[in-house]
Amino acid sequence: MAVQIKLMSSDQAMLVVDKEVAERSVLIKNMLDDIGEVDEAIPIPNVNEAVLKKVIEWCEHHKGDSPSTNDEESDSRKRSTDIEEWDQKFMQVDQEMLFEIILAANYLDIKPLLDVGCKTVANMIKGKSPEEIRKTFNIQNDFTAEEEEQIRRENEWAEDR
Amino acid sequence: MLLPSTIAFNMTSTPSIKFTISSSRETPASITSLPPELLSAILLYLTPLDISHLCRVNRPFRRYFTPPLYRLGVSLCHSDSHLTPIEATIIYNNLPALRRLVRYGVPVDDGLLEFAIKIYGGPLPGRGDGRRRGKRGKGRMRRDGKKVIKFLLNQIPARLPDAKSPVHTASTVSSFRDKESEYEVTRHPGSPEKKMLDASYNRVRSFNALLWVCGEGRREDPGLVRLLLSRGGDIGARDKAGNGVLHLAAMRGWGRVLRVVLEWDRRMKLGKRGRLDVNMENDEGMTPLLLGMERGCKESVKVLREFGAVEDGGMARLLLFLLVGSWCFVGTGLRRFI
Repeated sequence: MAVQIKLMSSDQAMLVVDKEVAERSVLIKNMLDDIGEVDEAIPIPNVNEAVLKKVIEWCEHHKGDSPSTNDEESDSRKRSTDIEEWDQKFMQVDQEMLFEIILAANYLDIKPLLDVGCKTVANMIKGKSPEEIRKTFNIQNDFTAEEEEQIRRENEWAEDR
Repeated sequence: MLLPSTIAFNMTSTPSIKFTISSSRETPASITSLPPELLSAILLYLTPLDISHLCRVNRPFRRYFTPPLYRLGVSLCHSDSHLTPIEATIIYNNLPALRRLVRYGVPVDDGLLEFAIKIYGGPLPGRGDGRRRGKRGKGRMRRDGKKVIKFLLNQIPARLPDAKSPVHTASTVSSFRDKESEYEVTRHPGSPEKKMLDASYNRVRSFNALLWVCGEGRREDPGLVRLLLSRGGDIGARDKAGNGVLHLAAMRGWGRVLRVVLEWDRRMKLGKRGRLDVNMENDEGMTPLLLGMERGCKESVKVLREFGAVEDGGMARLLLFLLVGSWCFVGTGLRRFI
């Protein structure tokens, strides 16, 4: 029987997970290494229940993955933004959730999940014009007309051909 | 490992980026709520052009994304054009960024080389005749443009597995990358229509760098011609009307280009039979010399004669042409006189 530990999300919800799954998170792993066996729940103050569930879902799917070596990692960085099919499906959530997941992965220090999240965001930005990026992320354009003109002028040398 | 304290520190150190990471967050998470180190992680997957687009989204983005962009050696993008990043670096003449892209594994192919040659030698596609040409910095950019072409030429051999002489293929014939035709072709993968389309697409769109530079290039550029020749450009290539490099250059009075081509050919002739005949005829039976005479290009006539061009059989045709010309001239002159 696998050792189970309890996690407490920011909204006081209790989640029980296998230790092996929870240790995908370097933060939790280090914590467990430091304090040893605990009975009470580990508080995760920055992550709410919905996001934590999602993160645990990812960890459970990827619990068998071998930890990537440094070489591999830098190589995959250089390469394009290919994402595994399962991860792609996993990341098909609304934007708020996506960014929450990224923040949670950063906080919990789950490198592979963070990479997947960043790739997903990168894919949302890729090949888009500024206007399309604004639309995608619902960002206001706060440039004045003069500023837009100035930006255009700054790059005139590039048009000068 | 990122503990909350680290994050809080970053929060205070970069007040320009608004983000909140706390258990009681009122605003929903968005891209602006990501801490800078995460935005940097996202930047790793983006190309310079994408980042330049990010810079133009709004003020916080501009403040944040401009420094990484300059580190990449790219200036901001000038328009919302549908260029690929590598095409953008070519338009910008940005050799460091181009190098970086290639190192990242962006493929370089014949189409890209063709694009570079057309950008370098002619006006920008779809941007009129390039009349807004300033004087400032022009020489430097032109020189860099040639460096870009040289770099692309160096890249292609390693990337074409089935080419018999990669450099040769690179600088002679290539298929122009047309987004629409590509779409047409990819719509029926493997079908007979695709093969047909493929064939017609390659034939119609065949591009010969040397012929293009001589026939349609914006300005006389012996250096570029020499570069293409040295990388295996086909000196004997003919266009649809049977015009060779000599014909095209002679018609435009480009003596320096003619000299480069002919000297190249002479050097190549040593030992074996030369491939180029100074008196070769196009489909209408005109030799380069006649074409030069017809257009009144003294420079090209001089160079061609120097390299042994003679007017023989074509002389009659030239006389006929002059006769008709003078008739017309006399006709108009008389009309005005009367």
